[in-house]
Amino acid sequence: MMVHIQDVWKRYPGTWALRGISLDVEKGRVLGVLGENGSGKSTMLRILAGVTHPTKGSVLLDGQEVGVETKKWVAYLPEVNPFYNWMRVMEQVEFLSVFYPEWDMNKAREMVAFMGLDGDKKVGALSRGQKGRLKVACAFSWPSALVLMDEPLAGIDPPSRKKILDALFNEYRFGEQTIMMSTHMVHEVGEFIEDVIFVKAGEIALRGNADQLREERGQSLSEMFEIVAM
Amino acid sequence: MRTFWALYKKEWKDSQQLLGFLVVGITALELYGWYHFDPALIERKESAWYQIPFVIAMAVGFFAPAFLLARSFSFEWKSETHYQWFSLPVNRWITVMSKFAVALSQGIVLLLFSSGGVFQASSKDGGFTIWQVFFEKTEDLQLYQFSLFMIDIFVMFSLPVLLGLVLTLALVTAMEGVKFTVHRYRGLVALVFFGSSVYLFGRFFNSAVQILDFMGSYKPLLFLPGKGMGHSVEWASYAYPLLAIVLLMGMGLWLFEKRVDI
Repeated sequence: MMVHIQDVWKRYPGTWALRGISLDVEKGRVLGVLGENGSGKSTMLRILAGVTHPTKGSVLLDGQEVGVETKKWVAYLPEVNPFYNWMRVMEQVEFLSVFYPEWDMNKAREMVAFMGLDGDKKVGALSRGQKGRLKVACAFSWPSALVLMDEPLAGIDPPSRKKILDALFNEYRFGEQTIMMSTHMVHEVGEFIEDVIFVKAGEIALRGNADQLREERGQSLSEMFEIVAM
Repeated sequence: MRTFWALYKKEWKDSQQLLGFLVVGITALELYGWYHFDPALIERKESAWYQIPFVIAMAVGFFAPAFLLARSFSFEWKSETHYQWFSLPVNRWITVMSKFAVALSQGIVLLLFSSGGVFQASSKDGGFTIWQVFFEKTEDLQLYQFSLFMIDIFVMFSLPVLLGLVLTLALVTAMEGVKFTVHRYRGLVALVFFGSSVYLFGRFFNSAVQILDFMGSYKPLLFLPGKGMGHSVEWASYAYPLLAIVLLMGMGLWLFEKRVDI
């Protein structure tokens, strides 16, 4: 099992972001984490990435507790732009390469070019969409075992989204990478998702194999999303 | 070590413009001091007010690294790069130490710039200046006098300044740890922590020095050639800040490692 979450709770001042979530994700699967803003999906990914500590509960990634060792093989794309604006694009990529033993600079250059980014341009001069592309480029520049993507399409123009997703899930995906992707653009990612969870108010409201759910309920993921959100 | 060096270089680059501005500012302040005040007045030493630009320069050299360190932490949150910082496969205390090391290096650079002017201004009447020792290699100084002088300078001046600088940076590190551990009223919490830490440090200074009295003292033989200092320095007065540094750094590093959250 790549991800094992057992009764995880997370409290922020005045609110519980997660309320006893339990989840298992098998290796090599693509899991869609769907839910409205504030439902707790970003918090769940942050905990898996090790940037946030759960208030209670346990999280294991490939049998290991989240920490420095797991971060070596987990690629995390936060919902925000996490890059240093004063760095040039390739400078940022090279900075990250120091920390990941399996970072592939050739692949990184290829990804930067595929994303249409100028390696000499300062990160601060990139548009929001270009920064989003840079996040994706960095995440797929090395053979991580688990990719955590929090709203990876935010800011990217609609025509490019399909092209990028197609490349990520087919051409640029390393072997049996497990991918967890949170989004509310359900209609655009639906075809790439194998398993799905719908998160509402810090709890998993619905889960299952995406195809099975479609078949059993006779609804698209977008329709399920709307029903769960109500 | 490779990762620490990468973090260290990144921090340097991140703050080098601000550091350059401070170095230029300190130099300008000292040039203003030298230009504005008549050298004859300085030599007469009738009052200390002419030293004000140099004292300000020294204060800037001393407090600016603390500001740069605090800014380094706050900037991570403001620009949301703390997401990248926290997701790196390296212990957070190492990244905090890299920030600390850069601030300390910057502090040493700034103090070298600022202390030159202060020494120049304060040692005119002795006919002997740090400038001469370091750059003009005054020949009438005996080797043994020179080495004693260096030891005295180190113990009487460099060590307390360095301890003060490290203590200030440790306090800022702990303060930032406390600040980002809480999710509300961060500014107020940081201010209260800073104020209460300074108060407690001063409140227990005398008692701690008395308890640590067994450590003995340092008696300088020469501070300026041919002149005895006439007093000694209690090692306890250095040990107490050192203990405070260990406590504050330990607290700051632990908070960032275990408690600071997004």
